[in-house]
Amino acid sequence: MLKIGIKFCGGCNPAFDRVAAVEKIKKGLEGKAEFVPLNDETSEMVIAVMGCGNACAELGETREKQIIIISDIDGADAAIEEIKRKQKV
Amino acid sequence: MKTGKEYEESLRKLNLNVYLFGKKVANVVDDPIIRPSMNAVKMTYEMAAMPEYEDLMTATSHITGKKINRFTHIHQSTTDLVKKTKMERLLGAQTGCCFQRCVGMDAMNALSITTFNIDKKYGTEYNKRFLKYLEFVQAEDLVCDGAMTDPKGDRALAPSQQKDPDMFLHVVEERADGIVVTGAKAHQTGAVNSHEIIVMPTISMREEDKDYAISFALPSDAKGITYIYGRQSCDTRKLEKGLLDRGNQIFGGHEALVVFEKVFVPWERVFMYKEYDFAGELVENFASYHRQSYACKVGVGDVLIGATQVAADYNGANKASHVKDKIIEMNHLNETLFCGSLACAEEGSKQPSGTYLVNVLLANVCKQNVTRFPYEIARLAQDIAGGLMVTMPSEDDLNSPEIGHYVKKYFQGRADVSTENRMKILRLIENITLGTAAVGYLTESMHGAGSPQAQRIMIARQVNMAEKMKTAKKLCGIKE
Ligand SMILES: Cc1cc2nc3c(=O)[nH]c(=O)nc-3n(C[C@H](O)[C@H](O)[C@H](O)COP(=O)(O)OP(=O)(O)OC[C@H]3O[C@@H](n4cnc5c(N)ncnc54)[C@H](O)[C@@H]3O)c2cc1C
Ligand code: SF4
Repeated sequence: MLKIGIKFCGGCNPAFDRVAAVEKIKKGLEGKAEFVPLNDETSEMVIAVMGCGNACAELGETREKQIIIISDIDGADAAIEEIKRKQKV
Repeated sequence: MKTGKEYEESLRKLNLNVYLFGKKVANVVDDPIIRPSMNAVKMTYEMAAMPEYEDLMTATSHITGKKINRFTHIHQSTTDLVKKTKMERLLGAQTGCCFQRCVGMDAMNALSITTFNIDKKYGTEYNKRFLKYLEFVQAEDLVCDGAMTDPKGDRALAPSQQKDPDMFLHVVEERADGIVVTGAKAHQTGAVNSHEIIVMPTISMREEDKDYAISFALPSDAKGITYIYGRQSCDTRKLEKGLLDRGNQIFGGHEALVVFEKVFVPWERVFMYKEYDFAGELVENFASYHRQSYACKVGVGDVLIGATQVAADYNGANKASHVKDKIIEMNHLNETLFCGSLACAEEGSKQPSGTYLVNVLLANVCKQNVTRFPYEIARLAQDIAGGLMVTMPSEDDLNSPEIGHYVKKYFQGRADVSTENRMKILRLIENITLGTAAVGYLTESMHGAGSPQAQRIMIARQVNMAEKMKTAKKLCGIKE
């Protein structure tokens, strides 16, 4: 199963509920992806959840992996679709 | 890094000599007056462990390469400085009060610069000592009180001219193994929630004041240190059974007078000793960092603006054009404060020690605005809240079997909102604008990190006036 890590920005002044967005993604990919800690080396993909368009979270540690960035609530649905499409699931 | 629980437990092991309302406090951590302030500091630990906040709340130590709490970090880039600003807004918004841990962070960053510069001039070893101390603070994830402000006695006189020599903290004895100091530090934020106290001089000094030009760090329960806890408006509401009248039901801040009576400091913890020519630099750098730190007021402003909008929603005035416009103004002022803190961070620069320092001019402009805008934001909040915020009966009256129904009936706003909820939001506005949290949101905005005039002096000194005059003359054809 596809292993995904989650990287959050620090959330200084987020324009949407970042944690709720991740819950939505987890639900949308239930049974199709496994969510693992960010430092899990076996993960292939990272979803970076940015609270606003400034998207300031540091992504250096995730350099090797596929990254999907979401910076608004609609990004959660788009991320689900993109991952499903990529994985053909 | 410590967890929130471990932080609380570590405080229980301290043997602090704290006085509150004239009595010695036996259990500092659980004292109902003090506890909310501990809750606020604890958030700096808890949020560092939460994935959704760690990008701001943690950093990588430049000494050990390990992950540390950002409050113990020495800024290594302008990105670090920007993250500091954002972290402070975040915490202000999560706690609605002063979370007390930034003063120590600012003291450490200022010392990382000045100890290096003193060593360069005098061949001393303060920077080495300081870095060793810093490594200990980072490894143990400690809270440090940044102790700069002396009681100062007669403001027109220098430290050495005061009638009482203890009006500024000074060295009273030099020994082979260290120094002995006497004096006090006033207005110490978070002092009784701290593991360590970092002492710095409070003003620029001349040779005759060299006994006062000292900086050092001590465990907060070192022998000879006494804490006298500061009162806050409405503080005894925290002794009442109910929570509603507190406004902020969870968090608060505190300040204390910290008295040093012949306290011994070992040499390895002394970071400046009589190098009076560096006192001014240390004060200026600390003050600049701390003036940036008032991004915390933006976070508290976020809470106050949110509360004001809720109050307007609850009494049905939310659609009035002047109410909407006042809330826009509150946001405009609040975001302007954020701009100042972000700008001085973004324009920061690398110092000889490698530490990044904020842009001093912009940090002073930022703080000058902080001395004003929270007052205007508070005024607008009180305007929209209405008079009930200060004339409302107590929670006990609301719950009284005899008259509670009157309170519920006559203080109802919109029919679909409970009177209890309306009272809660008004109490929160009261708390921030004239209750316990007003200490942090208003008076600390005025005097903390230096009274307004201190910034105006710095602004005058920092602006490039010669260049401005030159350009003006050039444009209108003046040739001299
Ligand atoms: C809530 C709060 C938290 C604080 N936290 C900390 C902390 O954690 N650590 C710390 O070290 N300090 C802290 N401070 C202290 C803060 O830095 C001082 O309040 C500030 O420097 C002003 O000093 P003061 O309060 O003694 O005011 P005063 O010196 O009494 O100033 C009162 C007025 O007199 C003017 N004045 C004073 N001296 C002169 C002079 N020589 N010439 C001309 N005018 C003068 C001032 O500009 C001001 O307008 C805190 C203060 C507050 C209110
Ligand atoms: S992405 Fe936006 S909300 Fe998140 S920390 Fe950066 S600036 Fe703040």
